[in-house]
Amino acid sequence: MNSGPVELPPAEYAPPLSKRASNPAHFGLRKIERREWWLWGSAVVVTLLLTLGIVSFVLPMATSPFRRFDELHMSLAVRGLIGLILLFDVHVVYQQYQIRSIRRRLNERDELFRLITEKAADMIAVVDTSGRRVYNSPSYERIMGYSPEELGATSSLEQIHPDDREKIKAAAAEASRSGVGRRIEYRMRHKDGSWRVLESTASTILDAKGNVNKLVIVNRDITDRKGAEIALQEYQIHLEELVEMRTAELTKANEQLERDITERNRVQQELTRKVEELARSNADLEQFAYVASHDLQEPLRMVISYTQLLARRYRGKLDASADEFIGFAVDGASRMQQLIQDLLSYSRLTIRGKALQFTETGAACNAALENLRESIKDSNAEVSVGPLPKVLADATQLAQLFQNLIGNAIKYRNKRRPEIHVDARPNGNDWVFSVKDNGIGIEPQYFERIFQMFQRLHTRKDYSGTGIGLAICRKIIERHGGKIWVESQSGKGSTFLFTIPRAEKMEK
Amino acid sequence: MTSKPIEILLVEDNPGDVRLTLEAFKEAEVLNNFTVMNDGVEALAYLRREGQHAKAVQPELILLDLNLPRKDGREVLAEIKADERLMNIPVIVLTTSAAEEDIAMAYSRHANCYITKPADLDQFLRVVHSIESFWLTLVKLPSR
Repeated sequence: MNSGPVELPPAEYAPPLSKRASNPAHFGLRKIERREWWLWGSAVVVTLLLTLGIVSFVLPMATSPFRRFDELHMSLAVRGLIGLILLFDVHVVYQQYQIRSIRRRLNERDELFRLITEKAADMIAVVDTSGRRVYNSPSYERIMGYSPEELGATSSLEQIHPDDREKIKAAAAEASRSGVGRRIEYRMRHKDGSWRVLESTASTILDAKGNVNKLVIVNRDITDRKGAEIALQEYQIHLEELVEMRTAELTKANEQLERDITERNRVQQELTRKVEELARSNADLEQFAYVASHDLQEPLRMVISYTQLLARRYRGKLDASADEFIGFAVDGASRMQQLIQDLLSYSRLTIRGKALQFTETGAACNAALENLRESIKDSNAEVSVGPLPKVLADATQLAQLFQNLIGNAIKYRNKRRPEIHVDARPNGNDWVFSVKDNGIGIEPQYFERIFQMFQRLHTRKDYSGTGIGLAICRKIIERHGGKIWVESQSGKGSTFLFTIPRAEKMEK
Repeated sequence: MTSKPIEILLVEDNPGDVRLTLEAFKEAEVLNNFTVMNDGVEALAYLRREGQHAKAVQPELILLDLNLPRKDGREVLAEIKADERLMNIPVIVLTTSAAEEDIAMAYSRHANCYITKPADLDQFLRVVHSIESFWLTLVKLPSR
């Protein structure tokens, strides 16, 4: 609880209690007194008049000789007295009635005062100049736990917090001097021992000479308000701390974020650089492969031509070994030429590849079949083609793809008549094409290897070729954004499958 | 048929190719007389009878390779076909290049034909034989 003096705004102007407004109850009591005085006065007058009447009646009876005359007078006197008594009675009843009604009003006002002081949210105390409690409103009991009697038996400072006593004395002195009380806050001990914060305003009561006689102090319990204020202050402080904390956290998070962004940018740049490097390196490699294979052709042509010229001019003219050597040289040179040509066509796939266009795969397949017409005829192969879709493709490469796959299906045939089926089915966002044969099949351990460049599973004696065909197929499919793989059972046949993204949407 | 051999200018820098061409033409039935120039500058000097080639014989047919030192076959072809004294000599481009742009370039500069040298000797001999039977036998050349 805040024990320091609390700075308060100057109290509103509170006029000292004037004589006019001193006490309405007092005014009522005076009225009663006046009316009682009137009663007593009239009673004395009536008694005197009665005594006078009786005396004037008795004296003539004893002394006067004029009896008849006296009888007449007596009758008049008795009537006069009876009338006087009746008049007096009426006067008494009237005055009593007035007194009663004034008392009732007084009682009502008393009751109202009691209720006000008892039920009021504020506690009202009247202390005299020596600090003695003269009056304590019943509301003290409800708010502070002390009955007015308990308080009346103690000094006005007894329940006040020791630290606040000086403040109160100063305020009381000031109020006495200026007649205007200042609003102060102080702590007062509740009967249960807890400290309550009170806000009080003092005003003065002057005596008949105009000197300060008493102080009226109105106290209000502001503990809850004070607590709320303090809680609010604490909450504000807490809020500020929270805000500071959050700000600090946010700053930290921001810094981290900035660091992250910097790092990400760096990684991004690194990645971009790597991608560029890779693209350049790929381009270099392709250029190299193209140039190398192209330029290798020239000296190779020399080797081939001259070994062939040797063979042509000197076969049979040297010894048998020479013929054999020449044969190997010719064969080796020819194979090398084939390899170089394959390498050249492989590297051409990207260098000379055309932009992908909307293409009828059926037409590409037919072109491949047209190129393979001789070998289909020779092998008596039966080739069936299902309905094929339109896709985004390089038509030439697509034809080459079909030609390589169907060509392989014929080449690696069994003793049976080759049966080849080309088909396509939609699967998600792709078309899955299949080239199925009933040939020699492939063992599972070679499923991946067959797609690598110059990888072969057979001797040249059994099956010719350099092993470029499926590598070219894979490169073509990768260029088209698809995959290629094989499903096969050795001896029963193979199915080569590849995907190309569906392009129906782009048609519209 | 005249017995006078046909004058042929072979512009080719590769001695292997020169010899091979000469060997192939050796088996030809038509008499021929080869002059060989190894680069484009020399070839043009010979054709224009410049310098040491003042007494050069005007060839009746030119076999021109495209890849030559100093001045390559493309420029030589363009200069021949721009020269009034030389433009009527048939030029056969005989090269290893099968590139489409080379073929298009050659014909746009008025090459009389374009032949890619086959690697295989038998095929090369067949090509030479075709040249012989067409250009040296069938075709009437301007000077004759």
